[in-house]
Amino acid sequence: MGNQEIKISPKALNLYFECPLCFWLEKNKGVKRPAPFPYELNTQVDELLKHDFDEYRAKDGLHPLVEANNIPAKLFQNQKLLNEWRDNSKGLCYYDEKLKTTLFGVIDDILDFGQGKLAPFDYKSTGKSVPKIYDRFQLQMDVYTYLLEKNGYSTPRKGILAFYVVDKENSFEDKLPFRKEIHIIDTDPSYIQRVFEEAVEFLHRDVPKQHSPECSFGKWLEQSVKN
Amino acid sequence: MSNFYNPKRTYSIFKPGQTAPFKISRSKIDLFLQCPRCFYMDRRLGVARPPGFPFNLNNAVDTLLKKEFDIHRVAKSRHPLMEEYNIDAVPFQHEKMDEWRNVRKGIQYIHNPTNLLIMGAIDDAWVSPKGELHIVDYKATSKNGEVTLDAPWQICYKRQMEIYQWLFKKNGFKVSDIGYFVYCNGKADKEAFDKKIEFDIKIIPYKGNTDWIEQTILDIHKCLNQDNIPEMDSDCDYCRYRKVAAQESYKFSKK
Repeated sequence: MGNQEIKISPKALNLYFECPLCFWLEKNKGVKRPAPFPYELNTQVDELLKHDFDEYRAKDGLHPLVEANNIPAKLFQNQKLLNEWRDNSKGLCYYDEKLKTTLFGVIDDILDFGQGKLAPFDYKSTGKSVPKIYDRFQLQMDVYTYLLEKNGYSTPRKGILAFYVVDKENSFEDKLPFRKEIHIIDTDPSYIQRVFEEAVEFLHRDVPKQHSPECSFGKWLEQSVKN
Repeated sequence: MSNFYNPKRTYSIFKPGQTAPFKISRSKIDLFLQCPRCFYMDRRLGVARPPGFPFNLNNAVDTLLKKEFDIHRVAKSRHPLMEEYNIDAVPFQHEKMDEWRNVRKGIQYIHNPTNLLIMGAIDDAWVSPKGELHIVDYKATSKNGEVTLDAPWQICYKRQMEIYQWLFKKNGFKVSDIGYFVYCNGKADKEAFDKKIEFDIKIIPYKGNTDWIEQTILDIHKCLNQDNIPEMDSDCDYCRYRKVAAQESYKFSKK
């Protein structure tokens, strides 16, 4: 088992919470849950937003959406570093010597609150009427905050979520219109190291494993075997 | 996710010898053709594949397009896109249009030899001056280059169209072999995003062939009535996952 190669993302930690056995199968055996069709439109919205925010970053770092919400921050100015953090094969990383494992996150953007304080900034697009802050969003922001701090930055312990919600009241006319909503959540990185360790140790532990009672794949497998 | 998933359904299960018609939606016909084993587990044993997250943005595009075509339906006029593509038709007005679009109802037909109730929910239908229907389906994606129907996986789009055409024919409508895909491709090359995603919209005509449907319904009926679980399709991700996950757990428990 090549521990050195194992990289843990917020998504993986979320899977660990949802079902430890699914996490174990994915990380140790490469057995992944079947993937759904790709979410091409959401990916495209992310791409367009990155491009849009990069243009404001290059100008003066002030973005109308950030200003309109009275957030006293600029877009993080180091485009080169941000590009690295956005890169799926790199990301914002922390290598834990003791665990010999990397915790990493691929981020959308960063807000700079001055005096070296950085906060993760994530774009979310949805076709639902009301945006919802799922637990996995909280975990994601907590991990990013932890990673920023491990990389020597200070943080305001906030995560900023920019929701782009389809405005279904508007007409189509060759475009999908969005309304924008910013949600600021408090982040807590204090438990991340513990969860990270626990998850990595779980991968090495030699105990019989069962799917979590909540795991839809576990339930599906169990029912499949019964028949 | 798990709130939406019931691993052992007790409804919508086929029981051999049942007298009531058994509902088969067009997506289940597609499931049967993708993997008979997954289909059998789902409709005969009540064990469906776990669902993924819903495609909210695609659904939103569908909703907005429906609204837009509805304006022309009421006015009995051609939508600018239909003019651009020289399509001599207008959105079809019919009292059942809302029902046909409703995923829980759709357009239905009882196939007498098998007593299977085949159903599907359409996005739209357009009618020519001769009274012929063109079935219409909206698709939304975002990719570089032109959208086409040429990728192997898009067979499911073609089958979808053909099942709708068949259903309308069986309901006594005059149906053209030509159906239309209103294909929306989110643009990647926008200068600024500014709260909207813009689409290139293309209408792709498709000439459907419904010859395969009758035999497939018979095959489905045969499958539902058999007492052993069909073999998995070698390309089925779910069956492969099921097999490997079971193997790994088994190997582990024998350690």
